[in-house]
Amino acid sequence: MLAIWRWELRQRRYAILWWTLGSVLLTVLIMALYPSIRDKANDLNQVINQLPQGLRELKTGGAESVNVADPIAFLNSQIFYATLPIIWIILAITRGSSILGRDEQNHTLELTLARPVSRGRILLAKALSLITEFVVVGGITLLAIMLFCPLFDLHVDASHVAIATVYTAGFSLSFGLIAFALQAAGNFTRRLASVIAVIIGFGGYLIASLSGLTNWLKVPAKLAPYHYFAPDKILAGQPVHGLNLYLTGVLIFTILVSYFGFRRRDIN
Amino acid sequence: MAASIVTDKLTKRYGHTEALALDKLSISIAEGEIYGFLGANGAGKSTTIRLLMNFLQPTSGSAQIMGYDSVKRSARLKSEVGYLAGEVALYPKVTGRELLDYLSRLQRKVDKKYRRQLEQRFEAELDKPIGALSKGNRQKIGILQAFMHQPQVLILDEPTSGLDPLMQEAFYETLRESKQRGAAVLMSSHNLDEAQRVCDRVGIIKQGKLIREQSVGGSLLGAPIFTVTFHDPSALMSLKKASTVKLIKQEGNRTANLQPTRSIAEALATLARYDIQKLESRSVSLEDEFLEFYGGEE
Repeated sequence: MLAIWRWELRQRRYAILWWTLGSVLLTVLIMALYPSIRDKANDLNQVINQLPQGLRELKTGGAESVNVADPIAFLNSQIFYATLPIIWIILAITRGSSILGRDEQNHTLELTLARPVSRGRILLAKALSLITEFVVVGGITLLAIMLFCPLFDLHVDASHVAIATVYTAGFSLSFGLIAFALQAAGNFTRRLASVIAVIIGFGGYLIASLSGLTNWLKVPAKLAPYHYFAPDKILAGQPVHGLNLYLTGVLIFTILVSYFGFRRRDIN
Repeated sequence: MAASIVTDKLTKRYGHTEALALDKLSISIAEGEIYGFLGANGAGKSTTIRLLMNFLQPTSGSAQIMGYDSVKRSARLKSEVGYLAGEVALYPKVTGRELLDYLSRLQRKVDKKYRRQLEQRFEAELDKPIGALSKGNRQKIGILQAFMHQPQVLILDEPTSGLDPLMQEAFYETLRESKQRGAAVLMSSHNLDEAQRVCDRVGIIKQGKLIREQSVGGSLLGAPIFTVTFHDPSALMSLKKASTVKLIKQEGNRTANLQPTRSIAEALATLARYDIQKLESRSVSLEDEFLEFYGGEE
């Protein structure tokens, strides 16, 4: 199993490097804007708070009003609510749908299946390599955030920043796990599994963010995972029970659907 | 000798299609036996192989390899199996050596010395990315990964496809070694001469059904077959009633392939009664057998 895990990561080493570099550079670039934004905070707050609630929430994740001079509000609105999750969800869905799907499509999966390794172990090794990829990308991004926060006067509790990064990575990864499980179960092609995960992820983001604009979106918004994603609360040290429940649910869904679906199905 | 590969009424239907891709296939391959699996494209050869490897789930029936059920003990039995796919799919960005190292780690009991010996025998290019290799060189890597752990069962789909004659010989040598070691081999092939040369027994499959199984060293193969051209077309009509020769194939109204039913002497005595323009003799080949079942389809 360890051999498969290492093989997956070895093949992805350059891609991991680029995704890490991209995440770090974008995050640091946004953080570098903080001092100048803080200096013009009054004007910016006025502009943001005058936006319709729905548009405002696309950026802020449900906050009633925004003070961009506040480091927590800045990190929440500029990094943790939209920028990082959007990049990482793209990474997660692309990888989740292809980590098994591409091997199956290219018939290279047969090389592994022809060895004395159970299908369950193959699934586990591939899922672990996906998680490891996120640990590397998320971990190095976290180090960069921790390093650059004081440099740009973003004084936030380091442990809260660490927890927010972990949650953001986990939340993003959840959509990759959904794509992975759907593809592994075999009822969905790689492309269809990606589309479903994109609808749940980005569709949910739009519904959750726009629910402030229209009343009829308030109920469906509760079905969207993004509704429970509240980095502002995490950065403020508050518990996020809804998000914990969602992440646990996705984990159970992934294990059950991928294992029982893949265990006894035809390889295409 | 104990059977290493056994299928019992193995059946496969894809999705909701009416036709069966494989229809109650029952075969048994003993230790040290090379079994050739012959059939036209789409006859069910690859389906059988994929069912044995548990890449496909049987609709009904079962298969056992080395006594292990192919579905329930799939992971266990694969430590005894070497598999080569019909279209070898390898990772194009890695080198052959990296791939073989990876697969050796998964297989666990690879003898490094034997692996090196095979690498030399096949003159495999192992240090170039696989994507840069020719089909024949990729096939060599496919063969290496199937044989390197000296498996007790080999399941090979068109193994010599893309190999030059020298490498085909190297493959036959490796196959002979495996047979001497007691390995059972199931090998599908389109090359009937090859099957006749290396197989102990062949099975011919058509539309998912096993229609004939026979020993290659058996009674029919190698028997003489006469291609006779007569001056008089009525000779063929008359010979159809003869008990000493059997008409195998007719070409036009004066030429036919005929086979002795009892002895060569009796057959020649019968033919001597007619005015023969031309007579050629050769041995019955697997191709004759195959074409008898497939007619003009392939």
